[in-house]
Amino acid sequence: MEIDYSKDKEKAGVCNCERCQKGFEKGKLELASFDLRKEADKDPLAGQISEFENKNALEIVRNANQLEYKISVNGQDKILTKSDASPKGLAEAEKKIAELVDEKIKELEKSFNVAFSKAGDDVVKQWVEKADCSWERGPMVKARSPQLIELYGIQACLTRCQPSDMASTGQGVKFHFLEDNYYKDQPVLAYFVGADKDGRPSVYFEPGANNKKPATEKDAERFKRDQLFSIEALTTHELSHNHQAKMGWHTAAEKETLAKAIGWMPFVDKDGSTEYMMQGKKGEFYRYGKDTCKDSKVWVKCDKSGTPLDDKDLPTTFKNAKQYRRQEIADRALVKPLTYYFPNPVEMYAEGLMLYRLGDKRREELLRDSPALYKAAKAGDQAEIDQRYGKDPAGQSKKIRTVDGELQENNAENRKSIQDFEDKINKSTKTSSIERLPQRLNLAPQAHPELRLFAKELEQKIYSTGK
Amino acid sequence: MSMYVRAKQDNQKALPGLSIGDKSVEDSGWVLSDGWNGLFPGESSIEEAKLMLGEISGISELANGITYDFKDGKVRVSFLDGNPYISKIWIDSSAEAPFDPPETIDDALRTYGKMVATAVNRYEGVIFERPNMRICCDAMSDSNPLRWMEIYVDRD
Repeated sequence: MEIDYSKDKEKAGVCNCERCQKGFEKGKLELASFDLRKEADKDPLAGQISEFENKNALEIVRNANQLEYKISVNGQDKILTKSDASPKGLAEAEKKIAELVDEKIKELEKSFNVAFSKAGDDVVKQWVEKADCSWERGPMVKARSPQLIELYGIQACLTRCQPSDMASTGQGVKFHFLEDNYYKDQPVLAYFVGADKDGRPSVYFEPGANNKKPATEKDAERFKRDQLFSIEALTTHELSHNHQAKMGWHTAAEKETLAKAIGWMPFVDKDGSTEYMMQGKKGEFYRYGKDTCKDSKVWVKCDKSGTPLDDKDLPTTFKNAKQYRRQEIADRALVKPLTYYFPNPVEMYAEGLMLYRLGDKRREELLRDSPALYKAAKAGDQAEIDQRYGKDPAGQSKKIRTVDGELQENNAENRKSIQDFEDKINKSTKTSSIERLPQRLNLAPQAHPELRLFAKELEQKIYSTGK
Repeated sequence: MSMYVRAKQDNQKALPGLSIGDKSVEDSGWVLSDGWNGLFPGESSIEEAKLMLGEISGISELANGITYDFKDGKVRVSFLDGNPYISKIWIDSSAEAPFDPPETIDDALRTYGKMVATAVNRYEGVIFERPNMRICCDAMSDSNPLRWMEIYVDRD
């Protein structure tokens, strides 16, 4: 049967089975792509436009003989410039965009005391893993110029990440956009380092770290992209590591205390190193590790010495241990991690602080689903704020972080808005946990009428006493 | 710096062509039985640790043991469950650290012998190892200052 992909599904007579539906969607996409290619064949400028869009991470809209260059920032379109629809117009726009990048950098450097490396600057010598699993330094990695959308994402982060935009000394963070990976052939998204080659706390964005990423969380929401996919979220995570550097996470004894608060337990491993295992709800332990450097890390259950356990709880290797998916570990954790990224307590806390600082819905999710992580993030955040802005003579913090993630004066109005927000979430959490109670106890309505009655009485008691 | 380490440094000849992890360098460096500052993992007890390091300034629970802090956490001594002898000694190597530990990776290599970079941790620095010893240095600074070092009994 020949299908007309230019029609909608019903008119094209596509059957309703999943396979046919998927096939139709694929065909429709291929047709659209074919149409674009035909368009490009007709229009020699189309190829240059596409290249320009990719290089500068923006969208070009063609209106007759005009080109409009736009990005989405804070959930709204922002027109950067316009030009004639010609090679000359594109060249002029390229120059204009470069000027806008320079202006934005100057604005951010002035507003936040941060800095940016320039294209061609030496950033850091690459690390190369050798065949024997040892490491050596490789060639110097150079910097590239940031894209405008990256700068807007960083700006959104900086408005909510203060005072983690600077070191304890007041020196601002420097952002470097790398031309090559920091660890050869081991690409990730970004790194925070306590000191770059000039001794400055820095964030390294890997090549392609921000490709196709929306600038802010509002843009991610607008384009229905995965949550926490934005440049704002990534930068917020990295600056959480600067927070950690200032708040004791890099000090052996304090790190242990902080990690324990979010459900991780230190132990001395067989090779003498101090590692961390995640505590489960039933007092059991899990760890993320591997047998040799050539293996991939896996989540396993382990004993209190960190030895992996098989499905009969007998000691074994990582390879032969019962392995768990990340979601399974998250569900079993004493303190629930809210994102997929929790290989160790440092990263789990950084993710928690990221959610807390992104504010609003993210902060709500954190409080509702992982109150212990919320509590740790809030306490750590306030300690850093106090370290920077101090307390008044009565011992009250001068600044606090309001629900939107921004720093505000610590006055009665702002305190109340936070309290109201937390009370509302805590109350709804209690309600929803009561609603889930029959399921948690596996109470089938017919099979366990007495237990259902007990649950109902318990529910009423919790409602009436609030406990 | 401990008497032992100082004496060893004084006697040690410059190692020609020394480089990090260079296997061609003949290694006559530190071994576990040399210990650190009069303490020997696998042999010394908590009483001996107190004698050498002074009062305990903090205690921290491990899943499989306990860690005692000395000198406000600048020196940490760990014991594993059911074992009365030190399992590991961790020493802060920052500028204010007591006992004058090596200041840079080069100092450490000269003092303890060759080491291999086994891990790069962007928060903590670069880890170098030789048997029963692990040191961590700041990779970003040209002088590669040491952050911490630890000596331990291997349980493998």
